[in-house]
Amino acid sequence: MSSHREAPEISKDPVADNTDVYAFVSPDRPDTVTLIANFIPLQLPYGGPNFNEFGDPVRYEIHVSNSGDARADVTYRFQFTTVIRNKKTFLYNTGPIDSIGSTNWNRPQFCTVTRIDRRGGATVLGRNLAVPPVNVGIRSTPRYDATFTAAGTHRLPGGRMFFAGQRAESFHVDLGSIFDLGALRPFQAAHLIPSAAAVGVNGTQGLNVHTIAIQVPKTDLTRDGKAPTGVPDPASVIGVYASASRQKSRVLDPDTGTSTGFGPYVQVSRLANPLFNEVIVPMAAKDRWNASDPRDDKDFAQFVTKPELAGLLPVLYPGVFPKLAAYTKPRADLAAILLTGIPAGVVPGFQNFTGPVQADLLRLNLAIPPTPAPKKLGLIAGDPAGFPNGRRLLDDVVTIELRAVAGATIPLVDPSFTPDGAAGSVTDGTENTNAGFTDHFPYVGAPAGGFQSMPGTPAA
Amino acid sequence: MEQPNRRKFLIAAGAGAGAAAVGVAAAKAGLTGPDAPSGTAATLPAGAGPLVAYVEDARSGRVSVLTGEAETVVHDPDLVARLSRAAKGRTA
Repeated sequence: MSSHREAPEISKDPVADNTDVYAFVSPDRPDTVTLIANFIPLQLPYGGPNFNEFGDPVRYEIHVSNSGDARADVTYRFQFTTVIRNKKTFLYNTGPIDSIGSTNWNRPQFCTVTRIDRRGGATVLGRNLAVPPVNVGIRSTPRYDATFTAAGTHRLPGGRMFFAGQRAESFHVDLGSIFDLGALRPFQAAHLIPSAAAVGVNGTQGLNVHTIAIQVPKTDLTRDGKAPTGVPDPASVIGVYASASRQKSRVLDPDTGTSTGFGPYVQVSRLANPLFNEVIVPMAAKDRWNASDPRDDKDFAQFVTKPELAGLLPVLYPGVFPKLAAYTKPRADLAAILLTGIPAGVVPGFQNFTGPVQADLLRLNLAIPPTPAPKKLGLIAGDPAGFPNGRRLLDDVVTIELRAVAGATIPLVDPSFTPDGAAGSVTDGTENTNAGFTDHFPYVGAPAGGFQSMPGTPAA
Repeated sequence: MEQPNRRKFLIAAGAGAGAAAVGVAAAKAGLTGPDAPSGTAATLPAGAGPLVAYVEDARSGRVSVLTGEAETVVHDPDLVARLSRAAKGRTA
């Protein structure tokens, strides 16, 4: 979760595994948009000696569709290159890494950022941009945040900003309970297999991911290259997704133990709305979904309009969701939230509709300014700058989507339906317990350090 | 079966039911077997480099040729037949 190890194939290829995507109007630079894609899930901070890093053979991309057909009109491509400085040591670092350019760092990475338009026109925005090391510990990467965050933030032409590197996991969820037959600790007394209610446990606590973040002027993303003028204007809405691709064939060289890629890049991971592939798409179709393009998501719409989870909730929590259990109409509310955007007239003063093409895209109305006091439940709490209008780091997407699936959003499109009382209160009970977010780019908290972190507590 | 010489002919993946993938480290005609005479190099086009040839369905006669970041699909039943024989360790 939200898309960590969410499909059989990509769970075996963590370097290419896209875990979360965020898109929001930058709170400190509201004329810009920040796009963030995280990869490499569930990293233990002390996972050496070969610490997590971006994959040179992987093509990482963030796509923006602005013309209503769910095709990428703007793509930012991130290609990494890894260098081994000292081939005679097994060490990640041969001494303290006290700067991003320190020669004590034996395995630096660099990134080339390219902007590609719909016609394939490519503009290199930056070459060999330094990526910070992972947070090894107080001796190897001292004063991590102060030493590396600003140094790894690069100004690109046109007022753009870029950062790539290890960060703290922003997404929070009770992994241990949810995957144990859908238990939600605060409500598990009502579960089919009951136990005493308890507080939620953030399963991603203490874990890191690898973040790719780019901040660009809104005019870099709109269909007409102009700043958005109003919320109702269709041109104010963009759709965002990220992907990772590998070359079609890989040949292992037994002489060197390395491999060479051949052929065009083939998408192996994609992500927009959190949890889409995770809990909407059936297991047998997840790999195909990862390889397909959003514009073909009509093939998966049946799983949105009749979600398996909505059928499970009344079974797992007997008597708690009787109205949901009795609701037999296709879930037009979920189709709007996840596949088309919410049309004008559904939520007063709001729309992020991109047209009738059904596609899993993170839709952001650029004309909606950042909220001074954001609410973590986003739009359903009356905060139009939050999910599902794009996604901010602080948005509690697990609770939002749980409540939506449980029926809380059905009245938006079907006023005759009154949700079950539990639909408005269901939650996994977690909150972010990792490093806090910052008020400036790249916004994601500094990663947990290997030396400083402690292993979890096993219990059988 | 004789181990192929990596420089000349790599089996990139096993031939399955109706599917074969063959990698050619040096894009010489290579299709005449692992010990093809070096004289065949004279027929190479300029700039020939490493490539992978993939046959998903031998009966289709189609070969996907992967080189660099490109894929070229050719319909050449004779080539497919020679690749399939080569995959079984036979010469053309």
